[in-house]
Amino acid sequence: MTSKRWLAVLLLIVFGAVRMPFEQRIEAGLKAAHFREGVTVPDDSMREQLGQLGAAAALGGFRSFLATMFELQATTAYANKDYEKVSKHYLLATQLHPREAGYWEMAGWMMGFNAVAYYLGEETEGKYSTAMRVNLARKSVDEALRFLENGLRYVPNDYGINRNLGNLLVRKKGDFCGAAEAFGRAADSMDGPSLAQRHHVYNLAYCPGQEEEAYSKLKALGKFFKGGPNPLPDERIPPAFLFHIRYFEKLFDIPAEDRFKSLLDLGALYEKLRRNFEVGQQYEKRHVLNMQRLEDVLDIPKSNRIPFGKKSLRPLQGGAN
Amino acid sequence: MEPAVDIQDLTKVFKLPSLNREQVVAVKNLSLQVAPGEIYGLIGPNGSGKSTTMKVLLGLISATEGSTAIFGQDSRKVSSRAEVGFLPENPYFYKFLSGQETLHFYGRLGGLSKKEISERSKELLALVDLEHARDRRLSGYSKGMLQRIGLAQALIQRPRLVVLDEPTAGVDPAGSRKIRDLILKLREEEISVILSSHLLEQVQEVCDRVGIIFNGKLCREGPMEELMAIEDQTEILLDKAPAELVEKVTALVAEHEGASLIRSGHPRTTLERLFLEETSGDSPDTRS
Amino acid sequence: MRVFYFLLIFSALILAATLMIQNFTQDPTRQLKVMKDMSFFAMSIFCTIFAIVATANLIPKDIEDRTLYTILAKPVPRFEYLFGKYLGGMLVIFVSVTVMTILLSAFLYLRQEALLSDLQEYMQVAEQEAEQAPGAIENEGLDLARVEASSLRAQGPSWSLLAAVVAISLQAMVLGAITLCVSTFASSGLFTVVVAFVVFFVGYIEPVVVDSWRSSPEGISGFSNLLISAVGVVFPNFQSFNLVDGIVAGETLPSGW
Ligand SMILES: Nc1ncnc2c1ncn2[C@@H]1O[C@H](COP(=O)(O)OP(=O)(O)O)[C@@H](O)[C@H]1O
Ligand SMILES: [Mg+2]
Repeated sequence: MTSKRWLAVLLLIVFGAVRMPFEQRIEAGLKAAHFREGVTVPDDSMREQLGQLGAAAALGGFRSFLATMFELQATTAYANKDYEKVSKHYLLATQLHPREAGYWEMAGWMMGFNAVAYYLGEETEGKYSTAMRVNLARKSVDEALRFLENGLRYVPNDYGINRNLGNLLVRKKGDFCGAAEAFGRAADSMDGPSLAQRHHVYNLAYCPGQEEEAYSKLKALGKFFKGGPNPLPDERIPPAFLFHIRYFEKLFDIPAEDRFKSLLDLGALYEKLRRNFEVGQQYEKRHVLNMQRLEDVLDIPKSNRIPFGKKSLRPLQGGAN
Repeated sequence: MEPAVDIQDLTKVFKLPSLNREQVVAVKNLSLQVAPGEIYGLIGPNGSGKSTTMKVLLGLISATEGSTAIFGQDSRKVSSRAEVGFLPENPYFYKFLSGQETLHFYGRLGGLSKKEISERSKELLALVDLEHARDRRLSGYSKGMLQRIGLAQALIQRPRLVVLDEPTAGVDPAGSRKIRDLILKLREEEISVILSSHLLEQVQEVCDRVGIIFNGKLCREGPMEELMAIEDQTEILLDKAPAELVEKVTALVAEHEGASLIRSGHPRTTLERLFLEETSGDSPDTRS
Repeated sequence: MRVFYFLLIFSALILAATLMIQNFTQDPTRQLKVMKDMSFFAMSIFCTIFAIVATANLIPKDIEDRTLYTILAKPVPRFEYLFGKYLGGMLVIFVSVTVMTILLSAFLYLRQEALLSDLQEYMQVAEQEAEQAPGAIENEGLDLARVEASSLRAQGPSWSLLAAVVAISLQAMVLGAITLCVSTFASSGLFTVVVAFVVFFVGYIEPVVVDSWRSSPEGISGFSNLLISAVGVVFPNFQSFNLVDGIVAGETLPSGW
């Protein structure tokens, strides 16, 4: 009887010893294939929010499920305009399931655009001081950036994260170089021409030190528009492309025969746009720069230009406001 | 010829799962043989070691010392169980199976083919008088019916030996008689039977040989008549004898030196016989 | 029978998830993810609990009812009896898991097709608009729709989902075997269930804990290392079966698995 018992124990140990290398190989393989990202012992703050059961479930193969539940709660919080909670729930969702790009992307969008719109919008007017609202909005942008940048560490080539990051950088930070990089990565994740590719080039056009790169990419874009079996008619050439390429052609003194061929009238466009601009209104930095570039290309004399000043910029455009 | 059952010096000690290593000696140095075709009764009070002996014989538990064999095959071998059918004490089967399905299940375990099983189960259901209940689930069977389906199950693969542990325990007298009749039918087919009981009367009508077991030891063993007969007493049963005749007989006995009359009067019928007479006519099986 | 009810609840759950999810996200890919999450959650819970609870009493019940005696009194080797009991329990799991997988795949497929055809429609309209709008060939919506369509295609029923199902079933098999083994010497059903769950949790959590120890700056001492090895020898690593999270996120399975 006892000898049988010893035999059982011995068998268990031998079997365990045989089993272990297999398990370790599987584990290493799964780790290499990103199956283990997000599987960690929850730290104190996380455990507190997950609860005992949640912490166990997080380890027990239910991370994906829990993440879904937290996103659901984040959506409820969003409906209630409680952005602190939105951020908290998305933090949990992304921590639990970091290889799921959608959570990073949504978290960046929620905090970078929805929360900012809320803090700077009518709803919080009077509730907090203007300085405080701008401050809350700026913090929220920083949080969004953190989400998106952390997300890129897990899923660097994701279209959604990069696109949101590009938009956030250009629209809430006035960072054209960073935006160009992000849109570039977004474009690379897709095959064929994409709007992301154009955004990449247009942002590059405002990135100091990248002028030659920007020009050569604009030329390539021009070839895409005019080359091929179905060249675009002039009226369908994107105006932004045209004033950017004209700007660099002027900057680099390109001879007339090598310039992009188009009869599109940028002057008429400028007149139309100018009518919509009002002094005293606030604009995003990119729109101001676009107008100024148009004026450069059209050689509008200084005295005739739109008198943009510091006050013409909306908050969070990378300036000091 | 090999004995159907051969038990040699069997000792079984149970270690109780307690700290002070308490032990129970359930069977001690027990030896017995059952010849082919013989019906052997093992009688003894509750806890005397009957079931334990049978379990060792069937290889269900291991012997502490000694050996058991069925038709010469050691009980520890799986193949020894091909020749034996077993009806445990108070058996339960899978309640969700019908009688037919139960026989099918045990037939498969016994290694029979589907065709053999369907033939054999028809025979056996007739034998144990359960044809009317073949498609009913066992959860609706009475105690007596369960015992009989258990017997049928034990017989499914035509074993040469049947082991019945308290086959009539808890069954009403009509049911017991049915079971007794079945055992007698087994004798006709020359199937060896070893059965246990704590009631002497139930054994006496069917057994060729009886062993009395007490506290794990076999105390007496022998043919039925030998054990039952009281050698120096004689019984006279008179029918329609007038009172004078009885007086004469009594006087005659008194004259004889050394002899004495122990008792005279009207014999009482046994309660069991009375019960059987009153409830005769095939009593329907009722749920217990 | 009870298993059948569970399967009914399971399909109701997927349906509920699909309906509920439409209220909170317009993201089609996410809708499919939630369906998968809910289904795998239900599947894992069912398999884990069933593997333990249903096997824990298989043999003790036979012993208690003495059915075991009638079975082993037939010429049946004990190993066959144990194995048969085990296979019986597993069969219930396999059948339910198969049904669940078919249900999930069907729901996923139908939903995916519906979402894809919505997207296709949207893309056609967007392309027409883009062709007429001055100065635009691509537009943002079209970009998004293209990305969405490709990730939607990747989220449908696939072989890798099957791998997750297989992993869940394998885990149930290991758990069932452990439970059956414990039940042969346990004194009560409760004891068996508790032991099985403890083995399960240790086997699940130990690798993760050890991993975070190993990566901590202090490292681990020789004695702890010994202890870890001892635990590893006795408890199977259940993390090896944890594929669901990765597969729902669209990872490809390493070749060794
Ligand atoms: N599994 C067991 N563990 C411990 N003691 C047992 C076990 N089975 C039987 N015994 C003991 O062995 C003795 C004989 O039991 P048993 O063979 O069942 O008697 P019988 O069948 O004659 O009533 C009893 O004292 C009983 O308590
Ligand atoms: Mg007994």
